Amino acid sequence: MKNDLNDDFLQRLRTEPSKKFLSTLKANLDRQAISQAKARRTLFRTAILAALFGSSAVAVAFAVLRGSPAARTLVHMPGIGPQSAESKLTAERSGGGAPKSIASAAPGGPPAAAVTGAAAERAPSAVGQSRVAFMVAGPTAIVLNGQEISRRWTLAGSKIQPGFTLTSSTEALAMLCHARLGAPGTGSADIAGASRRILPSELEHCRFNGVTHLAEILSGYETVVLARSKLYGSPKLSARDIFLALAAEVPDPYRPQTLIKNPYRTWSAIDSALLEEKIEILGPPLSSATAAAFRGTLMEAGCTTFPWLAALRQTDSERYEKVCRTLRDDGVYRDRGEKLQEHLETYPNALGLFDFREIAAKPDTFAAATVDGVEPSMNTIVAGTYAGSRAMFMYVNIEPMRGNPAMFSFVDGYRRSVEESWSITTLVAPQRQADARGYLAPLQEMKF
Amino acid sequence: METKELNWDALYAREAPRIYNYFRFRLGSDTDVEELTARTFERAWRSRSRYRRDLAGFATWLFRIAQNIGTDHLRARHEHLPLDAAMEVTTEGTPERDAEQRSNLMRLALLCAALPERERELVALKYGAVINNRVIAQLTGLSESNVGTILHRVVQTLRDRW
Repeated sequence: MKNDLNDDFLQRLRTEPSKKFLSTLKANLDRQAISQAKARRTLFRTAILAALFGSSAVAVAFAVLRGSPAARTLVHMPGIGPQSAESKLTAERSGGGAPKSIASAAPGGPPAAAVTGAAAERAPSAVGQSRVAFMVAGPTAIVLNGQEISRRWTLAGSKIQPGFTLTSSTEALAMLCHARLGAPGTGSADIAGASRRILPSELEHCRFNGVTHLAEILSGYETVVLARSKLYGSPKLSARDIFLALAAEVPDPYRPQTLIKNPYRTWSAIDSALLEEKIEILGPPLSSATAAAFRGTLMEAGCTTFPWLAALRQTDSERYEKVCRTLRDDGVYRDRGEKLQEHLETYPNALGLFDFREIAAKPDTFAAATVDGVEPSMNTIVAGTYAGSRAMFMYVNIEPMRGNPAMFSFVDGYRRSVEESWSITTLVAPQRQADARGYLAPLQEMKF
Repeated sequence: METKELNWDALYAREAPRIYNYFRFRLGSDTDVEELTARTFERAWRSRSRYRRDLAGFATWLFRIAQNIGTDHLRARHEHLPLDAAMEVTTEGTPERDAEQRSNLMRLALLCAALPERERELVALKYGAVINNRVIAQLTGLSESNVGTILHRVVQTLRDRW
């Protein structure tokens, strides 16, 4: 029996599904396709009617308000011209700083108009252009993914669009809770993305400010990978190695509770078990989403292997951020440029910093580093065992969504886009979301 | 646009048995297989107007949906049988082919339960869904050669334990 277990034996374990099952399922799918087509037609008609009705309402309102101070407020909305949303995204910062408001626009479509100031947030961005129906704030991954949905709406002829504010997780949550901790004029958000779960103190802030019904959606994982050319095989590193290789300041080996400027130039200087090779990491600009994710995952994981640095998170969060998330600027980490692949093939010691999806798309070109013995894969990401990954959350204020079908569609579309890998996004490894309405848990049910 | 060129009926006829067997191998039994297969196709059909050929081949896209559904199902199920239980599944005294097949499948599942998650997934994709190593590589993020190497090792392991 033992010798029988081969490819052929294993394939003989297959069986054909019953004809009844296949035909029933097919009939269901055909019915589903027909009802979808009907729903699309209905939606299109509704959108046309809504657009006509909306235009009429705006015209009437304008006529009524003409000459009043309120009308002048609407007419003189500030904008920053035809700068593309994508170019603005590259300016994202992982930490604090003023959030950037972006009205969504399809690539190649009409220019995006930025809207700043709470009073102007929900107003039409320009006569004849999209109406900002609700606001989404968050880090790059969330905003990019949301913009893909917005782009689809635009292509489908929708005039209803979300407004986007690119900002840190903390500020996005503050905007959601109307806490206005961000820069002056930041305004509020109906949906906030975050690379961490909302804190109990933030929830309390929300409650205090009357935002009492939030939904939490685990909306994917942001994952980064260090890799080298496939020619040289997978590097085996620990998170601590990576932190010591790339942090601006590291613990002094002779006085462990003291920080010194990073002296390490070779991997063997960090750990004698590693090769005596020059440390050379090529990655995207520090302002990119991938670099931000790298700082928040692998760097931080390595940093917290030093207990006294991990303790700083509670005692001195500012210093913690600085020590654990600041990359060295002495040339060991540098911009990867356009010829990254050739460079990695030429230099066996060189590593590239990538978004996981880049590596997954080119399995024959790059070999991803294992971190603490765990290789990056869909399974290890979902299991939470790969240190270079972090979960991304979306928080939705349910109250404004009740009377805003577009907002519900956005949340549902976002969920599906991640789940079905449609979007071009840094988010990977979707998880179960049984039903759009099923996962909208009220605030009081959120557990910590 | 491009989706209009796809023959969805033909795709269904081709892929349904593969998805079905993927779940059989993934779960190690026939329980829930029909439901998971139906959920995979319903989700795919619901989104098919948005399927983009330039991002993924149809099988890759469909199996990614199936993987997600399978992972969710397994996560919710949380069944862990001890490896020793494999010894209790007899391969004798089951003259009917179907019964023998079920027995073998269950025995295989019990042995696979001792393997890492990634290797279980590879077995289901390779032998359940009969997908080639190139597509498996796309689905798992491994290289094609790595897929072949791991599968070879896994079959050896299973043979030793059978």
